[in-house]
Amino acid sequence: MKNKSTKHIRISEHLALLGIGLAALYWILESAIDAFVFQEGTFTERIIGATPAEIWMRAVIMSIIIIFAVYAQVVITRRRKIEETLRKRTYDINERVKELECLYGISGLVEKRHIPLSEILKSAVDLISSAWQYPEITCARIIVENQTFKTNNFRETAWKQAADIVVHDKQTGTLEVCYLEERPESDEGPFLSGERSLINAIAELLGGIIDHKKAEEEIKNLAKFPDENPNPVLRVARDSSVIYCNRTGLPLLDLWGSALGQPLPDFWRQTINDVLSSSSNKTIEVVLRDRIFSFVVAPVVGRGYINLYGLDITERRKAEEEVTRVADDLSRIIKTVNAPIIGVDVKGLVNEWNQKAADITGYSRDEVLGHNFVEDFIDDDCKALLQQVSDKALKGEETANFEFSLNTKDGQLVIVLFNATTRRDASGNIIGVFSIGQDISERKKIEQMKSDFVALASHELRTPLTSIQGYAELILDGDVGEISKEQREFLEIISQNTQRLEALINDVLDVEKIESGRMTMKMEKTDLIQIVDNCVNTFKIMAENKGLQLEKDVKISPINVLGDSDRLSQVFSNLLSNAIKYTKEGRVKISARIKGELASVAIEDTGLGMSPEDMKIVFSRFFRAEDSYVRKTTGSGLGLSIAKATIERHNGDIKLESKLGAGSKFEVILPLFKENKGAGQ
Amino acid sequence: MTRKIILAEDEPQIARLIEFKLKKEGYEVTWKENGEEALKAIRADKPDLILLDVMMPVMDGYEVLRRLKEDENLKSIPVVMLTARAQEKDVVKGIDMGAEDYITKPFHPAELLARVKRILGKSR
Repeated sequence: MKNKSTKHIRISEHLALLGIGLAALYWILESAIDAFVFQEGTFTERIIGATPAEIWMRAVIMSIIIIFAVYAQVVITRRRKIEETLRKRTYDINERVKELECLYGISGLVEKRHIPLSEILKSAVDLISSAWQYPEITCARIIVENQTFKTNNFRETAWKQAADIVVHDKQTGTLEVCYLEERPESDEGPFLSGERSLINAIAELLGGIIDHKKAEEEIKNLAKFPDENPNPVLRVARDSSVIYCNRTGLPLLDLWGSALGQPLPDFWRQTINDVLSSSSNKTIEVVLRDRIFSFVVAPVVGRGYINLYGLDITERRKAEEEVTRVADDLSRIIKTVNAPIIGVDVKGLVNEWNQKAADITGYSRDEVLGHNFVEDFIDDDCKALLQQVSDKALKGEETANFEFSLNTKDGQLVIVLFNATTRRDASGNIIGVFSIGQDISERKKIEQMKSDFVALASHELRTPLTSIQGYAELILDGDVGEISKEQREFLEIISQNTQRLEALINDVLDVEKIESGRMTMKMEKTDLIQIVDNCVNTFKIMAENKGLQLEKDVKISPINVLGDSDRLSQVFSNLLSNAIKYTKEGRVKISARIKGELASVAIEDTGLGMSPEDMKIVFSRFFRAEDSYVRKTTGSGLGLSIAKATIERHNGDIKLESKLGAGSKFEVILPLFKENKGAGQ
Repeated sequence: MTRKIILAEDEPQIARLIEFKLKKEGYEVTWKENGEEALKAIRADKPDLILLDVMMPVMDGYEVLRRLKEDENLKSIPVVMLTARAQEKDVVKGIDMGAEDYITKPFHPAELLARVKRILGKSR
């Protein structure tokens, strides 16, 4: 088009020049005619000597020529202007066409329904470059929700235009157009203002497309919804013929011997009629082979058809049956178990009372249910304790093995050991307390008997022992006359063994006391150093007789603890005598220290030592080292267990370090006496 | 002057042992088999020292001790309790009730003698 307009201009120019040329030719021809035809002097003379008519004639001709030339010029200029305007318009139209082609192309992509959004954006980005001023160096990129689509030649440069892609007032992405090379400055960098409008228009268009496509996808998903439903969904007509059935429902139709367009089996008919006449939902259960379905039959009012929403409840039904079975088992167990089970609600009213509870108390279930348990059945001494346990359980805190006495119907007391647990409903709310007990009256009686027996036996053993010991010593003391060396030796054996027997009886009594909790302690401010000194004095001779060195290492005195000095004395005597007993040669060392808040008394020997296995059980009862040397030594095997229990009653601990063949170290740790606590506590 | 000791002990063999040891040392010993008889003898004789076993039939040692300490004439007579060892609370009880000393069974006869001597030496 550009070339055509240029041709127009040239033709008009030629016409004008032709006119001027013709005028000039006319002038020359006319002059030649003057000179050669009329032959009236020179050209100049003829001008001056020309007749007025000739001059007028020529002036007129000259004027015509000039007018013609000027006219020609005007025509040429105007034509040029028109041609210029035309050319510009054509160019603009071309540009618009390019833009429109671009926008139209992008819009066109949306028309094809099955194309996903990503495909659309991929194609759209390729349509953009051609609409720009320099398509060959233009590249574009679209970023939407972390997905990027770009032209193959895309490169981010300084010559860039960008626009936001907005969907529902929210920026969802950006559109960028870049020039790969520099171009002269225009309206907006190297870009035209029209290109700004265009990029904005494209961005807006893309926003619309994204919105549209998303909505389309939503609808598509929604349409898939019933088909993806794992539960059967059916729609049937008034005559029970199947209008629609989702994928899960199809096997059911098969089993029913029905199909799309076919009626459902007869048993549906009544239900369908019912819901149609009542216009309200109805739920029915349908068993199909090994599955159980629950169907909500919902009439669609005004349409004359019915929707059937099925739910496979097989698993749920199984679980329910299991729960029922477990509950049955549980109630049977509660009923028959040989342990009293008592439940109370949050108000303390009895709501569980099993046969065993009835047996031991004499109160039947009916007599007890609904009564306040603590108020009506508990011995006054136990009320406070039980209320406390019950309150705790109602706060979710469980109590194990608490003992209390129950009043029986015939006025007796039974001692019961209970475990209280919190009872909750399905949503976890506390609804009461559940206590499982054990009638320990018998056990208590047996314990008492055992304890009485031990006391009696030890007393009864002591009497003959007193005689044996006493008479042997009487003879040894020479009270009944001179005795021979051998008589003395043998009597001494009798005496030693009675002493050993006495020690054993004493230890057994101690153990019994510890077990029954009757070991009483006279707790007072006690100086450990004094006890250590006494023990060392007592055992000095024993050690020396064995050729052992008995060392005392005390750097601080006194070291006061809160304790029973006789009991502590017994502990250290025991540890010292053991150390001496089990050491063949070397030394036994007793040391006392203060370690922070604690007092420490350690008894160390260079004796037999212990294997790690023995170290584990050394504090258990009747432990005797498996060693021939030890077998010869005496002792009850109870000493260390008594020592450990005694120290524990003092809130202390005995630690043991030992190595077989290298010796042992027993360390007694006790809390230091605190002055402000005061003695006797 | 011979010192008089009344011994209340239900075990004849132990009583004989104590009697023998003390008599040999020159004490005059009267042995009674139960608390009641011992109390009678104490009232009649007013001994210098009483050896009282705790566990006795008819009337136990504590009861005898309680009655002695209630009696103005008898309360000053020193009493030594004979106990089956172990029960510290028994010992404490006896001392609290006014016993002078206690000896646990089984005992060394020489030790018993020493304690008796100490008490009688003190009160002489």
